[in-house]
Order: sequence, then C-alpha cells, then structure tokens
Amino acid sequence: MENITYAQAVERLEEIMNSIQGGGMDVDKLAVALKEASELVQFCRGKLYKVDEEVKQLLEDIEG
Amino acid sequence: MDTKRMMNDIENPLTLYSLNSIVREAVSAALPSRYWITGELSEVREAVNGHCYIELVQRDEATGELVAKARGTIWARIYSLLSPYFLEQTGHRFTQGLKVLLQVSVNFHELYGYTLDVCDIEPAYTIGDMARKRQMVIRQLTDEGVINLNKELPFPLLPQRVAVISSSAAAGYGDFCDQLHNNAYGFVFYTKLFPAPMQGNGVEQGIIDAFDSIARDSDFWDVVVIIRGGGAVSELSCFDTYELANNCAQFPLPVITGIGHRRDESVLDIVAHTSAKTPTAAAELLIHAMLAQAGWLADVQQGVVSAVRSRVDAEKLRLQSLLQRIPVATALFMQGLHHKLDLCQKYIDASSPERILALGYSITRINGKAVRSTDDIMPGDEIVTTVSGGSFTSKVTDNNQ
Repeated sequence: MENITYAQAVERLEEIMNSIQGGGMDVDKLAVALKEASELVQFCRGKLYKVDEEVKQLLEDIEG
Repeated sequence: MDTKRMMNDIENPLTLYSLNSIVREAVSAALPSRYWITGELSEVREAVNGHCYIELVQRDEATGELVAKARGTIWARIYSLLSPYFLEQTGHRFTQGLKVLLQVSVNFHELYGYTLDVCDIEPAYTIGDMARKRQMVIRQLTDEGVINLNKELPFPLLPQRVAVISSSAAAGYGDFCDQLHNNAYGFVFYTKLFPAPMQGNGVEQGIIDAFDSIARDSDFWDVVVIIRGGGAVSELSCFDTYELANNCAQFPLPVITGIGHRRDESVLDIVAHTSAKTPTAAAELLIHAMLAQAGWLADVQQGVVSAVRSRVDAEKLRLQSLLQRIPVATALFMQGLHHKLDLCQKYIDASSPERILALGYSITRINGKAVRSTDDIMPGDEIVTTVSGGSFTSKVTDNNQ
C-alpha cells in the first residue's frame, strides 16, 4: 500500500468490485477482498483530505 | 501666433495656459477636417453621464511595441447610437483590445491636452481584423496538427498538485488560491506560483518561460493553471499569439485557463485542455474533479459492501434451497426403492409353484426329476404327479400320444 499510486489504487478497487459483482470470486475470499477494498478506500481518502508532508517538502524544493 | 511668440522672452514668460492656448489654436488651424483613422482600443470607459472615454494605441507590426497613443472622447449623443450599432454589427461590445476604424476630429484643450473626438465608426474593419488575426493563428495550429494536443491529454483523477502561472500581485491569483485552499470539502491542494506578467509586452515570453520552468519537474505536477488578474484589459490579444498557443498545445500536462474575458475566447483558451471563464471558475473546476473522486470512493465503499452482502445472501439462499431439497430427494429415493421392492415381491409371488398348482397345473416327476418331455418316460414307468394339496402315483401306459 505504501508505494501504490492513487490511480493504481482506483484500478485495484475496480478490479475487486467487478470480481465480487461478477460472481467470479470464491466465497472464502470475500472477507479478504472486503478488507483490501476498505484499506484501499481509506488510502484514497487520505490522498484527498490529508496533507502529504513529503509532497509539501518537494513543493518547497521546486523553484517557482 | 507669431506676435505672441515674438513677445515672449525670459523677461516675459508665457503662462502654461497661454502656451496651451497657442497649441490649441495651432492644432485647430492645422487640422480643420475630420479624419478616418485606425487604431487599437486599449481602454474604453463608459462614464455615468453617458460619455465614453477611450484610449487608442498603435503598435509596431513587427515587434508589437507601442508606437502611438491618444485619448479620445465619444460624446453621449454619439455613443448612444454608436455603441448598439457596433454591437449589432460585430457581435462584440465596444471594448478594449479591438482594432477600430474611427472618424475623428482633433482637439487640444488647455487643461485636458490632446484628445480626439469620435464622430463615426466603421465596424467592418474590426470584424475583419479580429477574424483575420485569430483565424491565421488557428489555421496554422490546425495545419501543424497541434491544436488539440493538450485537449487529448487525460485529465488527472486528482488534480491536486497545481502549477499556477500568474502575476503574484494579480487579484485573480488571490481569488484562485483562496477558493482552492479554503474549499468547503476540505480537499488538499498543493499550489506553487510561477510568476509571469499578465499584461504588457512581456506576457507571451513570460508565460512561455513559466511553462519551461514547470516542464523541468513535469512529473511532479498534475495540472497547469493560467490565471489572469484584474486591472486594465487592454492586452487580451497577447493571449492570441501563435507562439504562446503552440507552447500551451504541446505542453505535456493539461493546461486550464482562467484568464477572464468578455469577448470570444482567446486562442490560448481554444488550445488549452479546459478553459474557465474566471479564476474562481478554474478553482471550482479542480474542486469538482476532487468531488467526483470523493463521490466515486463513497460509491465504491458502499458498492463493495453491498456486493459482498448480496453475494453472501445468494450463498445463504443456495444453502437453504439445498437443505430444503434433501428431505424431498430422500423421500423420493425411498419411494422408488419401495416401489421396486413391491414389484419384486409381486413377481416372486406370481412365480411361486403353489400358486401355479392352485391354478390347476401339476408337476410330474420320475425318480424325483420333473418330466418335461414324453421322451423322459417309457411305458411301464412309475411316475409321481404333484397337484395342489398332494401327490399321486401313476403308471405310464403310453408315451406316444
């Protein structure tokens, strides 16, 4: 989850969603998929609402 | 005039008013007619009394530098006719940035100096000039296949890291940042200003230089936003130049313009990925993109949970239906077995010797073996016949009947 980009997270979420909705997923794997999806959503939310200190630092380093 | 000039020496200086009076008379005498002139409106100000005050400029065609400038007045009685006529003919309000063909008379006033009184206008000139210039640039960009390049770039899912090209002093830049950073939803944006003049002769080169600076860290940025501040709007045509449009069209990141204008969109707006009417509209556009993602995330979260739930429900139903089918299937199976057993019993019963004997049939044996053919016995043999209820012995007299 650390090195994943927002776009990759979105792609993975779509994959999980399609797999569950399409009925192609094992019932045994549902709980794991649900947990992963929930973590991905939290990760994505973080990007929207939380200030990323690393980005902030990079921003300061760039010359305007 | 000569007399006045002769009377003037260091001992007898003229007042400024006297000098200006001389100039006024000279101007009036030298320029008695009305003149058709061309020029660019660099300022148009409508006063409450209905008069319209303008500034006309002329630029060097090669360099674009100003080479002439004059103030002018369109008196209310003329402006009230001229303004709607111009709008009707050109489709544009009589505003700054336009090239115009005007009929003027030349005035010099002791207090207000050199001004032109506008008597008439020829809108066809403006239409032709605007269209010609824009079309030339647009055609060139089209011919070179670059006009839609920036539009074809995918817009980032999260346009959070925003490189802003503007003038730090511009009110529009302040509005943009304020709108963006204080958005009602709490979305995080990272902005950095790449300063460029937004009016005057340095606009084109300034924006191109800013593009170059942003391009050095193009991986870092999500979008570029060009914001023009308030102030005089005389230099709109600087957003119509080929070089600027070409740089924008070929820029590797989506460019959003928020350069605020009243006339047709500039060529820069045409080649930009998205053009917003105002700086705050540009900020709104970014906020809406984030809002769309936030909405999508909420949908996905709900969608995944309900998809899992409906999947679990479906499995439950499947189990339930299996459980319901077990007793029915078992009963059916048992019923089948019973039926088979019954048939067997019936067959067995039907085949019993007692039943056959009871029907009147008999079994004849010789030496304990059943007689099946006349060949099995000979005259004189003793045979035992079993019938229902007992047996009797007989002697064979003939076996050839």
